[in-house]
Amino acid sequence: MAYATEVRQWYQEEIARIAEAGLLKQERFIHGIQGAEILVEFPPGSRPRTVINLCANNYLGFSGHPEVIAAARETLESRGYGMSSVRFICGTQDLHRELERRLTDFLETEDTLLFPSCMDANAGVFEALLAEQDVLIADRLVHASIVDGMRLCKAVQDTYKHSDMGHLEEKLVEHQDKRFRMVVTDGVFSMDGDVAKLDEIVMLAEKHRALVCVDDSHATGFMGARGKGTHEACGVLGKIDLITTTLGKALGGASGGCVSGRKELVELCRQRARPYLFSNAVAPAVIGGALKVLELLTRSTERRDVLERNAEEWRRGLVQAGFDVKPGRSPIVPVMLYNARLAQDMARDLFDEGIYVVGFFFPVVPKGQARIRTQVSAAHEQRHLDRGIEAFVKVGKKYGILGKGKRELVEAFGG
Amino acid sequence: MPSTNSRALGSPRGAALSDTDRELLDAIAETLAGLREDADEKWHDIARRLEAAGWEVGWRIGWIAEARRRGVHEQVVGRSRADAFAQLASLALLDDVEGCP
Repeated sequence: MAYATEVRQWYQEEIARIAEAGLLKQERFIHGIQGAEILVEFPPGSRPRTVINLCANNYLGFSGHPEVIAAARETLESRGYGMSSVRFICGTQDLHRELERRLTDFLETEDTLLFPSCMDANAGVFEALLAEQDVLIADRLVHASIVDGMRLCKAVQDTYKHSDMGHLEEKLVEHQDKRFRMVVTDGVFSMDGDVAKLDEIVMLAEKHRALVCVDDSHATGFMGARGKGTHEACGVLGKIDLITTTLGKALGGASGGCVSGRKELVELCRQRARPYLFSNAVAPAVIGGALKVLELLTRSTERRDVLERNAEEWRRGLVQAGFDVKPGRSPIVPVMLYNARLAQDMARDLFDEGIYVVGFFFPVVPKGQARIRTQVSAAHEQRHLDRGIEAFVKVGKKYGILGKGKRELVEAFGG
Repeated sequence: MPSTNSRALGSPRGAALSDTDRELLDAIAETLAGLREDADEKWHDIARRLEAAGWEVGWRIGWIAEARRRGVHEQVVGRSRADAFAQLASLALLDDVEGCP
């Protein structure tokens, strides 16, 4: 079918509808290396300006770390630019397997398989392991990629109310007739930054004979005393059957993800997971960078310690200034505003003040839960946090929201 | 005048028909019509070909439940209406929010 005028028109109108709904995603061009301070061109064509970045997943600041860049460059030189193959044909270098071993050691699991991204890992893992006689029981706020993976799997799909252990147990009891039950949750939830109750989930899973799968993308590298992830933070090392996680956030932020866990489950993913079977291997330079990140993480907990302190200080600063902040212990610190327009306006004003944050509202978060999601990094210095609070206070005063809770904010701006 | 394609029947022993009874009668009529349309047995050829290719082939009548909202369309097939709607509810919950990257 030719790309006829009416076809073009339909797509143009669809894009216009997205824009009218205020949901058009616009990219901001960063000139330079990802970090605490970045040079941003926005709107397109404008002169780039330096802003403090409070919305990256660069939790440990490894995206621009000199040793990581040097390791990636060295691997680029020694191992080339790309593999031009999927892993199982001729796309596996010794370094791919070495990184899988190192991730296995770091996460304290039995085996690991790399994927092009954690999005791909989540898209492939369930279909590879479960069938129509099984059930997936997911927390209702799991990441979109888990939802996609569930849809690709023939297993019965069910959900439990967010972090509601009573409801999860009801579901586990309800599905006792299934061959296998798998509970699926994020370790740290990306919207609210809250931590899954993995200790309780594991207890329920043992009681009702279920497997547990955790997407720890927003936790690997810094949650827990040695940064191993939510399973370490919750005291359940070795008890999670499957962990999916990413190299695209704290572990250097380039690309790549993995499935790590029970040996047989990982091996079956190697045999069956379609995103693994039909996607190119992760680029050698990314592997080299990730190996260096793991080496640095194993050598010292300094960066995750700094991140923990920064997150505490940032959260405390916002609360003391009078913002309504979601409680938690992760570096995801959502400033609750409840109104989509307010979230957008404040994010724009903060950008004008040199602070790069993004407003999130429905359908990205539930209706009436609009917020600015801030994310702290170990790369942030005291001056970045101080300047950030200063800007938030200035903009907060402009809108008269300081010291106001949910009820007052909704009354003033609507939910 | 009733059309030639319809026929009025008194309910047996004058029993009052519930909504479920009416739905059941509709389903029976729909099933009968569907089976008559299948009389050419082309579907049977397909089933035989699939079996010859190594598939274990089966079929049964089920309930379809569906829901549409904005650009999203969810559809499930269940063994019973209750089963279909339970599946539909779970699927719809997964669509409640897109989630943060």
